[in-house]
Amino acid sequence: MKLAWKIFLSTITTLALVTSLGGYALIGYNFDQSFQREVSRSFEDLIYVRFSLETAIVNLWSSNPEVSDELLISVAQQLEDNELYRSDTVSVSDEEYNPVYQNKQGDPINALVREVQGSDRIYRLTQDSGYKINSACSISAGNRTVYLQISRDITDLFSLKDRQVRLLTLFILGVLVIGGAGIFGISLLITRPVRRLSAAARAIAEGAYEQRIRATGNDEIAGLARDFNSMADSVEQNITALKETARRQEEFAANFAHELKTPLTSIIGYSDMLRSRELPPESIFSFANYIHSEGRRLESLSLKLMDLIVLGHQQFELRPVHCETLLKETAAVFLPAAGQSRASIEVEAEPGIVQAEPDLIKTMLYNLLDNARKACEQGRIRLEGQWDGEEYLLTVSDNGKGIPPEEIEKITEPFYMVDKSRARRQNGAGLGLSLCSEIARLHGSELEIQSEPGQDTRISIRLQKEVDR
Amino acid sequence: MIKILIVEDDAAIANLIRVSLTDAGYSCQNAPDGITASNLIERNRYDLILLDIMLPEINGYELMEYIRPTGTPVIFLTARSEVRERVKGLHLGAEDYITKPFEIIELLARIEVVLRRYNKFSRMLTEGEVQIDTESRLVHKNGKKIDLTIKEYELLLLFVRNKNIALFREVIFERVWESDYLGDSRTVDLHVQRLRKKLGWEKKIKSVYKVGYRLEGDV
Repeated sequence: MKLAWKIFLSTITTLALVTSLGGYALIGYNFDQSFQREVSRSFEDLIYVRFSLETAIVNLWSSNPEVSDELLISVAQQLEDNELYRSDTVSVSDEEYNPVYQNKQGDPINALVREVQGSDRIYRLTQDSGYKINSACSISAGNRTVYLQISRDITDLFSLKDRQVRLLTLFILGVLVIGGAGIFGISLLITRPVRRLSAAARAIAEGAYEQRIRATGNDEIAGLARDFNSMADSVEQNITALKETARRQEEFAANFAHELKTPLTSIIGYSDMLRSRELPPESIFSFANYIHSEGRRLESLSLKLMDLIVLGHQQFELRPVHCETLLKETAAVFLPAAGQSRASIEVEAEPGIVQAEPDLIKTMLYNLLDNARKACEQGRIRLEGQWDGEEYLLTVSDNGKGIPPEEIEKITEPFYMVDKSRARRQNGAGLGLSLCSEIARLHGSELEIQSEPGQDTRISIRLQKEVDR
Repeated sequence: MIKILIVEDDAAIANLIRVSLTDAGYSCQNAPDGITASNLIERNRYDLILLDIMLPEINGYELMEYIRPTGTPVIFLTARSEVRERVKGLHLGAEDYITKPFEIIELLARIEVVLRRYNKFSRMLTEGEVQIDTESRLVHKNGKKIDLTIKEYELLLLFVRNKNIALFREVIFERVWESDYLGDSRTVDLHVQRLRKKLGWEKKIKSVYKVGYRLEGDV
């Protein structure tokens, strides 16, 4: 909200200042002009009265030896009776500044005359019960010099100014209130996208990574919204990837613990029974058997696991390897094991040289061949190698049980076994294909698995042709 | 006869449990997966079910939905030892939760606790000519009352409930005296001597070399 307030306050303040300053300046200027006009008029009146008086006095002086106060009074009075005065007050004073004539009863109204110098006209603005312009000058009355003071009431001018100020103030207030409401509304509207952005950012910070903002328009805020959305996309992707990795690691650990604890339970349990009971010979034999086979299972598990760990931690260098030789050697080593299961093994390999790590490829092939052997009873196992363009395709195939299509993507996951009981009987731990898949990855390839349940299974990887030296 | 259903997919472990429990005098059935288990539960009544959580097809937690309406007590068996999993199991209504690997004697003890809680044990225990009334804690041989101290009685119960199993001195001490065995104590031996004498069981409670004692019981 603060931005809205900022926009609102700054606009309102500027508006208020400008209109106030402008308005009051205008009123002030107007007033000054009017005041000057009043002063001019005051002087005009002063001159007019002086002229009238001087003329009347001259006329009478010719038939009088001197201008007496009474003469002055009667002249002034005559002019008053003839309604010649346009001013509010008129006063005539003698050389000692004593009032001789006043057209109004009451206190003397000749204070200004003391300040008259020579033939100057002077004026003053006074304020007691209203505003007046007093103006004064000297009059030549025959052989005397007397003083004249008139006043003009300009209270109206001041009242007008006050009214104008009041009106302006009201007007400004009105503008501020109505305009203010309008400006406030507009600033809320403008800042709404900012608030939305802020709320979305907060939501994302609290974990709602799918939050996005609707970005409409072309201004900077819309641009910000669009940038925000793409940032949120990136964050969401990363978080999802991280969560997935964490989940997989957790699952691996849990599965591993399980695969470890299960045989241990048997080993501990059966050995405990052997030492604490009197048992018939068949039982002793049976229990000892269990201990032995579960021990073997643990052995197979730990060896495979070590391989998996080592794979992840060492650097392997690929070098040129003769395919034919590799395949034939692998088949030869595997023959005895195949013989035990009465499975036949055939090798058909095109000659060629590939980039590979021979020990790893052999390990992978042993695993695949072993799986093939376990999958079929007295089956046929084939080890093939063929050129496909620049790549050498290595395939292990068997005519055994096959793998159901929905299981194919899961079987390379660590510890995953399609048929747990059969796997355990054969000392499997579910790690073989993970190992093979990792080896394939190290060769820049991946396991390609094809299988028809009940018919056959083919697993292949592609190796790159030898790099020219 | 107390009937226990063992739901466990690993054949070796299932067999291990079955043999131990049968020896201890329970009647057992095995189910290697969730489907078989649910069928058996539907058709038969059991006093206790030992349930592995990691089963193929249906996992143990889902199976609880079938079991709960029957009111049969369940003990979970599993390799997953995280607190979160244990709490989940207990919340789902299991009576207890035992993690692999376990000692058989611990499994038997926990089974005992649950069965006792559900009053599945008969009040009277009989071994040879000795009768034990577990409620009044009175022991009779051939009708004649035998006076036993509290510890002698607890020791007798321990032997009878774990007959044919060699009990280590530490285990005897920890179960009957409920504190850690310090190694040199002759307490266990003295009490066994006295028990043998009072019941005339010198031949029946056998010494097991370097281990402890075993009650040779009727199976």
